[in-house]
Amino acid sequence: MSFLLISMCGGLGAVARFVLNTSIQRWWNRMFPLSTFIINVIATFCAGVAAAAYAHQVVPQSTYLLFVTGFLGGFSTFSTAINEMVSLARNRHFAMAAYYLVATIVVPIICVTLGWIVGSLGR
Amino acid sequence: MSDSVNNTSAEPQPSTQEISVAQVRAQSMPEPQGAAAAAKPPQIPLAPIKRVQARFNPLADGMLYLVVFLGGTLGTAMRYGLSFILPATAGAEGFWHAFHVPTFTANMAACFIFACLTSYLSQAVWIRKRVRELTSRGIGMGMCGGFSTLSALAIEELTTLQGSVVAGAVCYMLVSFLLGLIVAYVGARLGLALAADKTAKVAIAAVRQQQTGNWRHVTAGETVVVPTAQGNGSVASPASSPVSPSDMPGVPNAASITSDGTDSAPAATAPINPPSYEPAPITDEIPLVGDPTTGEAH
Repeated sequence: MSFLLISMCGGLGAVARFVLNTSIQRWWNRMFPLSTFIINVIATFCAGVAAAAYAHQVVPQSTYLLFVTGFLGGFSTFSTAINEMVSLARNRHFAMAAYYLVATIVVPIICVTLGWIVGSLGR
Repeated sequence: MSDSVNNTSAEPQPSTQEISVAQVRAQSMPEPQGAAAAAKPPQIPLAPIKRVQARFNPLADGMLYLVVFLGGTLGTAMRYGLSFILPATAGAEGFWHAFHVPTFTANMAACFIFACLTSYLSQAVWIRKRVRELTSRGIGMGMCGGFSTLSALAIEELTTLQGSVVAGAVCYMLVSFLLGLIVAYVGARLGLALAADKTAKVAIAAVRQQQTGNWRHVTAGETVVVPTAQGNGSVASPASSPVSPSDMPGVPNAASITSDGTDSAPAATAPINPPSYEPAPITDEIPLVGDPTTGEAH
């Protein structure tokens, strides 16, 4: 039962990503894939907050699984980011691909740390 | 009688009557004119009613939501199921403890499937556009997106860094991204190769079908060459029953014009060519035939 609930939370996360992705792509017309980047930034920040809350035992494990493994797992995406890098490189935008790669490696770490700090504020 | 023979010989060869692909394309796609031909053509916003139609706005397409939800559910179930099957980390402690096997496996598999699928679908013109869109959204965006995750990767990084295994954390991150890039590149190449293979098969099947004579439709841009045996057999070909130009008053002889004023006697003595048969012209016009009972034009 919890397995099904977690999976459906993942489906909700995917729908949320679809809505946000389409909305951002409607006004963003540059080459940088901003929509996936913003989605991953939001997801990793929320994951940091959730991890801090779980570590300080504010929320039980079931809630943590539902939110992080389910919703945020479906919301954030690794495959789309990687494939955007590959397609940028295949279209000979090597500088942009490298820039996006570095941003996708570094920024999530910063975001998850910030989220952890925000989540630990009350302690 | 000699007029009809002259007419036939004066007609250009059938090969010159072929409508080339380039000609059709040039006529069907006209050059922009007026304001549209400017370097920066004016942007015309979509009509407000069209912004809520699924044809113009993916956010108004309910089917896409359903497909993405189902794909995301399936992908998350696969990723969560992997965490039961595979060991959580590659090692009990130390350097290998930083490598989280389920997340890594899910990410690599999702990268490969996503790259293969998107590159294949981008070339698959034989699949209907709607089916391609739904597959791309459902399996690509929904399933692969739900299967792969960056938030779990970031949390694993954070916990490893808090355990002060910096080398393991950095290695895990770099290996994830580099191997993901390689796997995605291989997947994209594989998808393109599969699509090229299928394209060749479809083209061969179409040519074979055309050679057996089972084809009925002629699409614009196709070069139509009617075999001469067919032209001979048909009685009602236009060359066999022409309107003689000399019968019409005021119209000079067509044969004398084409032979630059010389007499048409040499043409008459020339061997009688098989009647050249011109294929029906490909036009955009749809013949209108009125229905006498309802009055509708079909």
